[in-house]
Amino acid sequence: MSAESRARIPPASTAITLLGKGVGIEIFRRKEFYVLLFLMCIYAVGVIIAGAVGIEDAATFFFLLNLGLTFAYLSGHLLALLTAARQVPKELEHRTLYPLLAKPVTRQTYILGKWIATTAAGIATLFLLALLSFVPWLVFPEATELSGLLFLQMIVLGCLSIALVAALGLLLSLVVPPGVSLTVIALFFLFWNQAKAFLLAWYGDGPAAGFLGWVLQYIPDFSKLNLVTRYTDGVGPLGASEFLGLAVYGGLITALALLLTGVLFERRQL
Amino acid sequence: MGEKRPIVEAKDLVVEYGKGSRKVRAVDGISFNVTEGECVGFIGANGAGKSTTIKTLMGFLFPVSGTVRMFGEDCGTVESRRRIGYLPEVALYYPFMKARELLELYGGLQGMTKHELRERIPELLNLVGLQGKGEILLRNFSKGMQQRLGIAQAIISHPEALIFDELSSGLDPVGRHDLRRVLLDIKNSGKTIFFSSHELTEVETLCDRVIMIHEGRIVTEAPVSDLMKPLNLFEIVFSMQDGNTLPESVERLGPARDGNQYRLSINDVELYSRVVHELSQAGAAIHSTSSKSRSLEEYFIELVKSSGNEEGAA
Repeated sequence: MSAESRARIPPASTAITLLGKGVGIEIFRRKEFYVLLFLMCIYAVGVIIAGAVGIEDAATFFFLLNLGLTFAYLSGHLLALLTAARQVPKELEHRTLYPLLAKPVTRQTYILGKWIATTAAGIATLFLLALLSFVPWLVFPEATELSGLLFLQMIVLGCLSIALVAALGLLLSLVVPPGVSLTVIALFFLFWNQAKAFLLAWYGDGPAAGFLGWVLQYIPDFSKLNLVTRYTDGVGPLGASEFLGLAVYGGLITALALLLTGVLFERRQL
Repeated sequence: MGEKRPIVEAKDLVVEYGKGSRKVRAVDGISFNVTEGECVGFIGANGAGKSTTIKTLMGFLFPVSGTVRMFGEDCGTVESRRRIGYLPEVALYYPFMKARELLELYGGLQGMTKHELRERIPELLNLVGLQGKGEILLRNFSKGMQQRLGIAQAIISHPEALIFDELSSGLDPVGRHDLRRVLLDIKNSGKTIFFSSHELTEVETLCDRVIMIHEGRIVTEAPVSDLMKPLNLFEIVFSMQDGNTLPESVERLGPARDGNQYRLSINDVELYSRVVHELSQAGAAIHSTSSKSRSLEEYFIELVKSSGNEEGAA
């Protein structure tokens, strides 16, 4: 034990990679990803059976494609959210956060590493399951009139949406228990668009309607970033400015959520 | 040789938990130093403020007032943490990881290269008694094995100072013995060690100095040898023969009588020598003499109880 200290301050990129690798190992050895993959395989088998029994019309093709892509889209988000929301609470509960932050790693690097890893895991899930959601193409080869550009736009905005869900998962996990943060974000993800429309319709003529509308537009609306139905409905791609506007919208809210997470975590008594 | 530099400097440290009426002062204005090469034990009852103090040293908690410096830097800076090996109080390491993967993670975060880790990990697993366990998932590790792994991650990069919170928690006697051996090696290599422990024999064996904390305040801070000195207890069992009478100077000490035998306890080495001499002169038959040192544990229990009594009286 007389050896000289070999400790050095690792570059932030190394620390982020190592933290990310840890999250990767966690996802690889837990059940969630495999359950999602299994469900997607059931879908693919169902599509093949549908083809085998002679269901070949275009409407069925688009319906099945929508079903598969929606499931892949939701799965990517779900995995990112589940993983992000448990990172800090579990590490605190098991006290693994202490030896980790006792190493020469800043709290911001820790948050960034966890966010990048959970986002990457969600995106990888989206990609893998999206591949399987194209099984209908094998069964209905004639039904191919879909926009390649819109598909690309759907994937880019889907990735941004996963990044946002991961950032919000980390942020809320610092202030509320993991179960609450999961429920709140899941509800926002699934129903905020409808809830917002209801609120505006219900209070649209009220004295502070303008203020309400102003406030509501700052609450993340995941439906803006979801182009799955637009794609499977065969609608054309978004215009460049509209697409860029949505990309900036997703990027800005994600950055804001990450910034808030960093500030809260930096000041938190552990 | 110049004066040894301070590694840990805590001054008037106050740490509180909670807010408003539920605010609890866990550490109440403590000051202490740990200098280079020292091994210092930090002891106290449950809830005395040991873990809070250590977490503040590591930058996990922020003091309400007072200062803490490590290696001359503000506590919690990346530079100060680079030089410290830290063991938290009972951690349950990632159940989905293998022991080797965990050590690669922690070693990598200490800036160690893959090549260094390839050499260091098997050596380290061997050192903490986990040889051949590198590829086992941690969900299959017992509490004691997790603690051994915790020690391994703390010393992986040969840090200049070690800070251990509840050192031998969860370890069986063999584990504690192995750990003492590892720490003695580290201590003999001139590294600084600061640890809290409930295992006071460990503190007696390893430490140069002891800091005792009770209800957030330091009640004793002294070298272990100084604490042990006044604890010497001597016992003499004797009887008076042939009608000889008990010397008056001995009678004043109030020996306990059991039949024709007397039993006398003395806690001063000079007095003890004088009494033995006087009893011999007076023709007493000395059946046995024994000396015993009270353990640090007994000293600690007395100290805590007397603090409790003082508070009760107040």
